[in-house]
Amino acid sequence: MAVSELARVCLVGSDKGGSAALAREDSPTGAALREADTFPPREGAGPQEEDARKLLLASGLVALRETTRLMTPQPGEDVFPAAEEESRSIKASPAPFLDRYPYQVVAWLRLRGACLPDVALPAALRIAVEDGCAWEDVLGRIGERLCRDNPAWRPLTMFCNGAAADAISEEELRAWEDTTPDMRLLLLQRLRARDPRAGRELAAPLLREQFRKNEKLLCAFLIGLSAEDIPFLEECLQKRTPRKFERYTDINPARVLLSLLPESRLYRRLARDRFFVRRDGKLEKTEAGEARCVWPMGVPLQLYPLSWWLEQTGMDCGEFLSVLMARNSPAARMADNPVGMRIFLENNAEWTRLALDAAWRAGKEGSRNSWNLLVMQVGMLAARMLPREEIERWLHTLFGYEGKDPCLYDGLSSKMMLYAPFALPREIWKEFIEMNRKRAELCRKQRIWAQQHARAGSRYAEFLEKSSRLENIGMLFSMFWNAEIFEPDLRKWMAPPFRGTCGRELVIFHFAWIMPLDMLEEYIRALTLPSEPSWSEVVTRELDAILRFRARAEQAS
Amino acid sequence: MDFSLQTIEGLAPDDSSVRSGKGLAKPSAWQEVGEEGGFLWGLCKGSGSKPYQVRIDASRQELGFSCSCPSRKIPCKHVLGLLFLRAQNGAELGGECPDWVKEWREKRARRQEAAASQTTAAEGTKKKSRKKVASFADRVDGHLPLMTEGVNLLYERMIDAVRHGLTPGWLQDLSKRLVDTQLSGLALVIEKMERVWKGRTDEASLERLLPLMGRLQLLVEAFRSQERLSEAARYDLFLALGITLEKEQVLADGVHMGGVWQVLGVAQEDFGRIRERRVWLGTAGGETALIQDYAPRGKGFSGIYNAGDLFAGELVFYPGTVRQRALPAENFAPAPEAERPPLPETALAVRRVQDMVKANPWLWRWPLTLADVRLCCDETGSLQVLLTDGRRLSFAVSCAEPDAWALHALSLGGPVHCFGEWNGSAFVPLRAWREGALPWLREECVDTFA
Repeated sequence: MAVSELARVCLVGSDKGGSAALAREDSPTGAALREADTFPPREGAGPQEEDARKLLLASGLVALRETTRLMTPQPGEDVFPAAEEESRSIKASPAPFLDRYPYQVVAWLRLRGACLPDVALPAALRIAVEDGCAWEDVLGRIGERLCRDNPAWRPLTMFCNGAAADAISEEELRAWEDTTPDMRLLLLQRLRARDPRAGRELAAPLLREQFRKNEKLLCAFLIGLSAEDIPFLEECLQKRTPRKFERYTDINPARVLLSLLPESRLYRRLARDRFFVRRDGKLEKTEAGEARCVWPMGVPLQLYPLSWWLEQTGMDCGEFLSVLMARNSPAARMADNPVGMRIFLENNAEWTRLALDAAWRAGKEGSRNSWNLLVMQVGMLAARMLPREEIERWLHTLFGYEGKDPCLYDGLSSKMMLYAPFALPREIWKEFIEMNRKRAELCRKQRIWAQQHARAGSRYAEFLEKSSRLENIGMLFSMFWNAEIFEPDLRKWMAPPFRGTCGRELVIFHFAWIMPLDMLEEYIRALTLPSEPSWSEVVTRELDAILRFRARAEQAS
Repeated sequence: MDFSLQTIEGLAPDDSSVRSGKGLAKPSAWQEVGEEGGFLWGLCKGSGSKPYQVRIDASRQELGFSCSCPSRKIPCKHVLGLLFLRAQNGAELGGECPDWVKEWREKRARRQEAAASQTTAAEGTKKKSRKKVASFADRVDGHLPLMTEGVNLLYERMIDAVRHGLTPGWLQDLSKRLVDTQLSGLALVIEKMERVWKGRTDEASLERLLPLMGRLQLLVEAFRSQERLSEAARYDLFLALGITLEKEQVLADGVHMGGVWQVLGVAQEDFGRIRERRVWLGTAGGETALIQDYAPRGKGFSGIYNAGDLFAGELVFYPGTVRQRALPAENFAPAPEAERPPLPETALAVRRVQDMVKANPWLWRWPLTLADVRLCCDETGSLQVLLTDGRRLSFAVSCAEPDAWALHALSLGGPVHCFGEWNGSAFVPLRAWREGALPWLREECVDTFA
């Protein structure tokens, strides 16, 4: 090219006299140099200066010629195919909100059966890959096309449907290796749901190579977990954590998985363990003190099967759960989280129902355990495990409670509403708003719930923060609750994507995105707290912004 | 009253103010916000014991604002924060106008009335003193010896660079010397070159640098043979070198052109000590105009121009061979109800630019509207422009990768219109839009010479 040739002569090479040779050539450079010759020479300039001047002039002429030449249309090299149909995207963009409420915006679009608008897609796709979100149902045709076109986003539509699991293409394999850890976990979940063996084989090299770095991938093994996985999981079990004290808080996920397989040696060994919970809910003290009770053998309690707890205590599960939820129960402090986790890991609907009953009874008997970890876990489990009618019945029952404290069950009901995999009926929202109004009344006197509900640093916010961020094994699996894809019979678990932002974004704002639009104004009024003016104003203003945006967007589409 | 993020960023004195302003664009930062009749106000929590009182008058084209904070930046981050909050909100903020806003509003109205009566009184005097404004030719003649000195210096530096190679300090102090010799137009280019190519000697950088040097050399040659140029070409040359025209002179000598104007795009460029804003406008006939203004560091631009806005009235073009830079006449005002002028066909727009390049080779960028095109991003993130018949425009598109994908996404929904600046080697998109979708607007500063 003329420019690069001239640049080499002018600014790199030392032989400026070479321009004379170039000028004779039948090339754009030669033509430009010959044209530069037509400029009158500078008086008093020596030959070297004149050479340099002509080169500069030729460069200027070439630059001007290029300026117009480049604009001439060239024959198409790869004709860009037209989009198959106009975007179904909504007209108003959630782009400004996408930064603050990515998960909420997606939940809102899902409920409306809408797609992300094209301008917002690149930002949304970046978040989805970063956090490993299965958002393919809101990408629309344009989003899918973008995922095909951009290698960085290609994993988002990998293993979604159709393709045979035993034929993972090289391209897919490359995408798997190059993508983010969260995205890799999502891909593995999808693959395990279709073909557990293929999933295991895909993940094995990474886990063998750098176990500590990739151990999160083992969470996906919960999908399609079977005795066939035992040899590989036992191999993973050999990868011990380097620091001794971490074994108590940060154990190998393979242990959790093996504890779910009755055929495994670990399961059999755990069954032989003895524990120290008395029928009255008190702890049996040992010489080593309570801590030993919590960590027998240095193994977190969620490793123990639910049946084991009953064997140890001699109680039936209803009774055992009542003990855990009883007022001031010392056992609750020790075992509520592990038992809740175990109910989840075992996907046990019976225990979920009994836990709901126990929480309800305990509340009525004066146990203020609405924000008890087990109760909240039960709320999430119930939302995803129980049939729709049962969830609605429970919500109705919880909201209809007319005891001393109208907000006694709001931890439980909130969780059920957040994780319900369907649009809740208007009656439920009405009762929910009514409950909020009662809470506001209560708040005027006690100033507790609203603050606890919304303020950063509250127990609830802390729980959410931990459940999405901490790296110990219990929390690793709890992250998995929020993952959006499960084995096929658990697809119904696909529900509000609450991960990632849950610690930062507040539950009340999430509800503002998913409740019927015409009820949102009433919800905002119900949340207004005269006793907490500054807090209330901030929340109200933010809710107002969401309301206005939704009204505009829903009207436009 | 609508503000785009780009417009607000244009008002900001620097990048840190934009960042801080965006940080305040959340309801929790404000104790009270409101809006009435084009006036915005808010109480912003700051480090002082009392919240800062922020007031904005957006009822006119020239934005007015005041804040009780001690910052010396104009506008301060609180003003920007309130504007960002308003832009994000998308609708009026509502609320009852408090007394401290009412007082300010009345004071402003009084001041404006007084200014208006002073202007009327001064008009007569001005008419008399108009003769005192030196003509363009006189100004040029007055500065010619100094300018010759500056042009010679530039020539020597470039010849030295070609003869002896690029030394690290070959551009050192050159821009200052050019400013001293009344060549501020060239000084801006040199300043930019210094910043972009400082110490860079890789092949790609040199290939971008040389065309610029070549074009500067053409300017030098034209300066030396100026007596052979037509009057219009002399205007082109001296405006490129940096001679400025008085507003009165433009209004007197320039070509007046009326009609409905659409803001096609807005570009901002950072030249170190000053920032330049270029507002490109277009009419139904495919004519384009450029309102160019500058703001020193620490100050924002005056006047609000959002891409897509409509204006009606007269623009007065600077004299020269090509009608490009213009000043708004007194009757130039927003006309939101006016009919949107249709866009010229891409082929026609391209031809027009080619003609402009031939007529005035001393411009650094030209406006280009690409109507009904597809913007296609390849795997490396670079963008191609495809015409409806499948042919492609072979120029490079200067666009960061995230923006390239956003444009690609927009284009997947159907053909788009894209407006941008052609800088001789690359097309710099400023705005892309199509029916039924949100437009894409460039948020970063443009870098013509990079």
